[in-house]
Amino acid sequence: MSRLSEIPIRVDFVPASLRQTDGISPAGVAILSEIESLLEQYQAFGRNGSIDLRWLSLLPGDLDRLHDVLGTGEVSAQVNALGMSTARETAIQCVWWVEHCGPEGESLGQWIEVTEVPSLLRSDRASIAYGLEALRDRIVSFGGESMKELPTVQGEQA
Amino acid sequence: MKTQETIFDVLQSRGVSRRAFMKFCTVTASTLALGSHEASVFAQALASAPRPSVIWLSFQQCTGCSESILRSFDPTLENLLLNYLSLDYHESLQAAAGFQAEAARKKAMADNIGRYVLIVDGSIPTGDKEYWSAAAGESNLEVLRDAVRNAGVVIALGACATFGGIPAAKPNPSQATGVDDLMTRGLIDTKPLVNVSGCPPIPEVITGTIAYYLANGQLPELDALKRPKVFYGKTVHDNCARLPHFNAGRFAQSFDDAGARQGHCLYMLGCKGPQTFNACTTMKWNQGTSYPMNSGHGCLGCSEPGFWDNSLGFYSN
Repeated sequence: MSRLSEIPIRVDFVPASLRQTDGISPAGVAILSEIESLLEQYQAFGRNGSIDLRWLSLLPGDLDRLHDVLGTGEVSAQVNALGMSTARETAIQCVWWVEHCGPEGESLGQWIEVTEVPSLLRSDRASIAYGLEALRDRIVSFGGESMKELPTVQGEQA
Repeated sequence: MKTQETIFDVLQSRGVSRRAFMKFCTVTASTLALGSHEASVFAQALASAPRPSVIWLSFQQCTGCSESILRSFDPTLENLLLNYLSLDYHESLQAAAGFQAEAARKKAMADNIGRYVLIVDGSIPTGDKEYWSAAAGESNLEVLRDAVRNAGVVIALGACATFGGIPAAKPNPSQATGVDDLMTRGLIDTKPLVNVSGCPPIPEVITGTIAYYLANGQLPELDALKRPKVFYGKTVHDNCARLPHFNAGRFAQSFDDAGARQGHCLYMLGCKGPQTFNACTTMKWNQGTSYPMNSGHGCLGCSEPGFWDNSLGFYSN
């Protein structure tokens, strides 16, 4: 390909009627419809869902509009794991807005999750063994004696 | 029988929390354009996948590929899999040297026959120039031939390992070439190969490719040049911020002129974006900061074969 005329041109035109400033764009409406559908599925079948906002073709201001429409709920949580992540409940029950950031604070992406509690916030029962090990080390380092080290109580020796 | 350690086991034992791992999986799944259900399956599969062994061989190269991916001392999402988990041999990073280093490489290969991930950066001299690049008495080609033989998958990383890069630019004094060409010519065994091209490649692309392989036991869909379609399926032109100006016929005439500052297309200044398949405009560089056209310079076409020789020069089209 060596000439301009050989370059396939993709028309990237947004009609003025769609560039609304007060309302929400068709892309935003589509996302809201998707959230509605995910909520119905979650209500009926308990199936979690999420929407990855990273690759959607949104107009400037669309995310702000979505924020406005979904509103702010009661819970806002931060998780510090390889950079900060935030999970904010929206005013719509079971709809969460999750954002992951890297160590330098750069945004890695935003997701809308439809669930009771985003999996990011849950503690992991399967990791208790590591937690127990750390706790026992701390007990010992603070001069205590780990239960694991204590002699078995009377009655268990039989 | 001892159960093989899984990726999640190893990460947890090294202090990486489940939440950090979930975050890695979420972002990587997004990078691979997986849907929400697929992303969940991907996370479960990756967590339970056995700890991989990664052997990284560097030949005629500038270390830019390693810098691109392993540049940080802090754990980042891009280097989590490599730094924390699996890198058994990397000449620039490992503490061992000399005979110890070579012994470590051979042990890792012997312990993981048919399963290890072999990453190659740098081109390989051939013919009567084979020994122009050698270490410990072995030519690059000999080391590569030995390592490829029992690899589970080979990842050619960067312009040099994929298509020859700068060392292979005319007049190519060392008769350098890339891994795929060596396989085609029968100079090394043919194994599953993925080309992650670019000078250097984007960190998330190599991480995403490895993660996909570990979770699925196979490579992602590749294009005709053996590059993952998910990352190399579109040209950088397709998602360039200057595309609307290209469509409207507005072109910068010189760097930093009024048009360039207003975002006009850099095609007239040599931008190779329309011919270059890569993910720079979607992934961006420096932790999502920017990409060349966004910073005022045209694309050099570094992820395409022979980018040093094929064009009219970096600044003309």
